[in-house]
Amino acid sequence: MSEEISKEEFSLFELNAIVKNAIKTCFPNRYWIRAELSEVRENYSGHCYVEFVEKDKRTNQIIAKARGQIWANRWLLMRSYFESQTGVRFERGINVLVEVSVEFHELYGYSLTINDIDPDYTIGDMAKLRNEIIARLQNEGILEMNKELEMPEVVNRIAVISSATAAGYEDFMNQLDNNEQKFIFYTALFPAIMQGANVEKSIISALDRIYANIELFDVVVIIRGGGATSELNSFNSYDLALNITQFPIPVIVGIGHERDETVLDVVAHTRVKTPTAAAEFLISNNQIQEDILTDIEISIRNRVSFLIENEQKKLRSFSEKIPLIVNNRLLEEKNIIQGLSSDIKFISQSRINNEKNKLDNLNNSVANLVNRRITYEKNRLNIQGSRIPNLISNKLQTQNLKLSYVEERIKNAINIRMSREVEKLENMTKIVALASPENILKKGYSMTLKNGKVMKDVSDLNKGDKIMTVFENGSVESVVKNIDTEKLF
Amino acid sequence: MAKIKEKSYDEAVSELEEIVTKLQSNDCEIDKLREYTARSVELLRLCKEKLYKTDEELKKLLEEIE
Repeated sequence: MSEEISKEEFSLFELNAIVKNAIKTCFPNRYWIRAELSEVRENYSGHCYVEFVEKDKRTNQIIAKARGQIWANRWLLMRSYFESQTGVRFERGINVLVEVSVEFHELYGYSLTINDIDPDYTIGDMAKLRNEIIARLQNEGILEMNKELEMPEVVNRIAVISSATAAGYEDFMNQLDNNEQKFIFYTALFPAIMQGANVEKSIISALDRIYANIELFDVVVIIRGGGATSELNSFNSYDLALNITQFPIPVIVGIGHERDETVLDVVAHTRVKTPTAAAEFLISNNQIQEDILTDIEISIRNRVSFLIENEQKKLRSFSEKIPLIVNNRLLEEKNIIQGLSSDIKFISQSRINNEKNKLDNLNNSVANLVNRRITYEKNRLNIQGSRIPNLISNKLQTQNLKLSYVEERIKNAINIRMSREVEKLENMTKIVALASPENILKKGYSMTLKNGKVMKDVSDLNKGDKIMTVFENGSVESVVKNIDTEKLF
Repeated sequence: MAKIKEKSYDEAVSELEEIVTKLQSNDCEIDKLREYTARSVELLRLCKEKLYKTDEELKKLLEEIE
């Protein structure tokens, strides 16, 4: 393109003025923006100049930046309002939500004028940060580690972390030194910066120094008093909290504020509001021990006197009671024996009665049985008796009949026998007549006698014997001449 | 280092509590009352010293740290 075009030229100011106008036209309103303060400074005329940045959440790289200002007339009010509401200083490092108008100045360029601020956002942001630290400590399992330490029974060796010049430190020391009970406390101050950007490092360094002499201390007390309430954000520090949780003796915190707890308050073994309260806590801790000792002392004393009195009482009561007890016992035994003897009497009497009754009953039963039997037998006899006459007469009749029959038979038999015997006798008489010695002698036979006796056996006779031979018509005497034993017949 | 006593405060209090328990038990031997009492007086003295009596040696050590 060779044709010349007339150039429209501007001076820098002119261009900047156009930009200024354009911005004014394009951004007529006020806008609420979220940003981090990367710089805050107040100049001699009372205006406040800041720098806003926005960082990439992941990489933490700055991705936007802008200057800003709060004019002096607003700055005074806004600052005290913000700091009283949030408890933090309006300073670099905090996140804010501010209402801005977009400005462009020919000389100073792009900037944001702050008209208003929302402290709630910063409060929320801080709470979020604080909660994140607490959650992290919780996840790491160390949040409660210092809390779990046992408070020694006597606490009087105290490492104090404080600013040496702070009013709070003075309050703390006065309170301890003037305790009414005159408890002994030993303190060692480990100075630290308690406000501003270096709080965290300063406290951690003090803790390190205490740790080097840890055996000399019972507790650590971190106090801060009289400073602005806007410093508290420094105590929402992960590194500081980590140091506290890992510390081997209890850490007591009294950093002088009434609002939400900082992370430091959360991780400390004991949290009180003010340095004075920290001193009171230590005194009351010893008072508890004092009370325990007093209780022990009283209970030992009471118990010992009680035991002694009790023993004395026991001994007295033994000496009083023993005769009574013996007497009572004797009486009791006597009663028992009496009771037993009357029991025995009664029991034996009733036993006798019982047996008597039994016997009576048996007696009665036997008598009844006998009577009954007698009656029975009587009846039977009666029955039998009544039958006897009949039986007898029957028997008699029968016997009579039998007798008459027998009589008849006997008569007959006798007659038969008689006639038979008569016949026999007659025969016998005949036989006898035939067999008589006269008849026999008649027939020729003779009878030999020796010494008057009939001789039937030749062996009864000896040679020389005188014998008489009898005949039917006489007898002869002879002497035995010879004996012949030979039979004739 | 602080002067080492024979017994720590905690041990002394524990022993005192044991003595109280023994005294309160039903089979506390009367013959031992004197022994218990003497021991508890000694222990109480030791404990109270920790609460009330200045340990100069410890004080000196602490001043040296500061």
